[in-house]
Formats: sequence, C-alpha cells, structure tokens
Amino acid sequence: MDEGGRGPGGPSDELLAQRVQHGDRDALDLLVRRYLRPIHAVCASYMTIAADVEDVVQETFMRAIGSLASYDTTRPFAPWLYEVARNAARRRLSSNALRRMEPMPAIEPAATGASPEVLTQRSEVRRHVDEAAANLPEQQRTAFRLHDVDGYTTAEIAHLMGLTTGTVRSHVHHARRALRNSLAKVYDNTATGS
Amino acid sequence: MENESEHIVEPPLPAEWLPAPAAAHDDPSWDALRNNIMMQAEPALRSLSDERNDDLPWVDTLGTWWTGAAAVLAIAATLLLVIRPAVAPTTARQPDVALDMIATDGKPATLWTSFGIEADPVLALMAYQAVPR
Repeated sequence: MDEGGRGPGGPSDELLAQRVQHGDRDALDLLVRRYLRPIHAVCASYMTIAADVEDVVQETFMRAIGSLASYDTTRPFAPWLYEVARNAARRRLSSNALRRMEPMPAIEPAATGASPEVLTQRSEVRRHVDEAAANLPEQQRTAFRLHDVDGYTTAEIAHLMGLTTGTVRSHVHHARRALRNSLAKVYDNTATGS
Repeated sequence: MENESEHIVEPPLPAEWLPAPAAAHDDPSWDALRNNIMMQAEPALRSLSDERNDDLPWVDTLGTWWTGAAAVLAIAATLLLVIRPAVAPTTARQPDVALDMIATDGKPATLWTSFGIEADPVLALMAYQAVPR
C-alpha cells in the first residue's frame, strides 16, 4: 500500500512475514517500507506530538517483530499490524509521560496571506478540531486521519484496518459530521459554514 | 485527496482546519525512521534466525544425527572384524561328530570310546542322534 508495495508479482505481506519469522532482514525491510507511512498515520490519529508518534511507530514495529513468531501467516498481515499499532498507541496514551493533545502542527497558514485575525481564528478552530477528534470513536478517528489528512483511499484504509470500503466511507462520513457539529456548537455556525 | 469514487456524503472539512499531513513520500525523515527501526530490529532478527536453526526439520536433524551414528557404526564394524578371527579357532576346536562317526565305521559306542567314555551301544546311538547338526 506504500513504497515497496505489492506490485504485480511482488511478494505478499504474508509471505514476507513468514520470511521475517525465519530472520530474513530484507523481507522485514520491505514490510517496513510498505507500512511505515500508514502506521505513522494510524499513530498520529492517537497523539499529536511528532516525537511521540515516531516513538510509537518504532514501538509498533518492534512489538510486531517480537510477536511474529505467533503470527498466523494464513491471516491478513495488514490488520494484524494495525492492531499492534493500535495497542501500542493506547498504551502510550495511558502512560503518564505523554504530553496529551498539544495542538498538531497545521498546514502553514502564513503563505495564504490571511489577516492576523483570520489566522488566529483558524488556529482556534484547529485546536477545537483536535479536541473534537480526540473524542471520536477510535476507528472513525483513524479512518478520518488516514483519508482526509494523509490522503489514503478508502480501499487502502480498508486493507489496513481489515474493514470493507463501505465501513471506511461510513467512518469518514460520521467523523466529518461529528467534527462539524462539534465546531458548530463552539462557533455557533460562524466558523463552520460550509 | 477526495475523489469521485469515494462517495462520502458529508463534505470534507476545510484543509486549513486540519492537522498537517505526514511528510512527503520522498522526505529523508522516512529513511531515517526506517533505518532506526531496522537497527533496533537486528537483535530480534538474530534471535528469530537462531530459533530457526534450533527448530530444524526432522530430516535435517536426522542428517546431523546420522553423521555421528555412522561413525559409531564404523567403529563397531571394525571391532567386530578384529574380534571375529579370535572366536573362530574356539569353535574349530569342538569335536566334529560327523567325521568321527565315519572314522568309527558308524558305531556310536566306538565314537564315545574315542572320547574316553565307556558307552552302551543303544545309549550311544541315542546320544549321537541328539547331537544338533
């Protein structure tokens, strides 16, 4: 689904995982290339600090390698890895060390030439989006992040999360609606008019 | 980002409200992160590789075992060859009853006499017939 992705004739994730179970370094390298960015996006849907996200991404892959001996290669690899990432992110969230919900760095607005008032308002809106996103159900939040922020297709997200594309679309739809409604409450429709 | 085939009813939020997406695909930060992961994974990979060696299939295990077993078998065969000639003369010293019988004209009592035993002719015949051949 990413760099090193399974092209025609490329080894399947499951075959690569089987090779990693036997200590094959190249197979692991290919799997990491394939899933580094999607797993990063999954982790970023749980936390906002870039360093925390990177830590959890690394922890995800370490835990995955550690658990590979018990991974059943007849089952899809991507949803298994997604579950490992999800658990690693949850553990990190529950640890006291996490600096929770600091605002995510947003797309640099200065280049848009907007007035200071508009920039301030946007910054406020982003903060509220972050807060509202943190209250979304996990799968909705992750599907929303992968689709609307990082630009993955519903098919790619479905493959990763082990869902149907219909379910992914539904998650994104509900997440957008919930975020919009949440912002409408705060801004009384002034900031959320679409 | 949004494409026609996605069919999501609720329109997307304005991009400026959203967090920044992850770094571009070709950003060097991905290589750095991947290298970190691969470096940290080395001990685990070595351990997986070692487990693989410990968990050889039975054919490989038999192959390993067979080398030792073949050596033991070769030593045993050599010992047998060395010991066997020493045993042969012992059996050769046993009295050859059939030849002695011919030499005594078919009279078992005479045969026993040749061993220094004074024998009844009937009992000597029975004793001769009881000798395993």
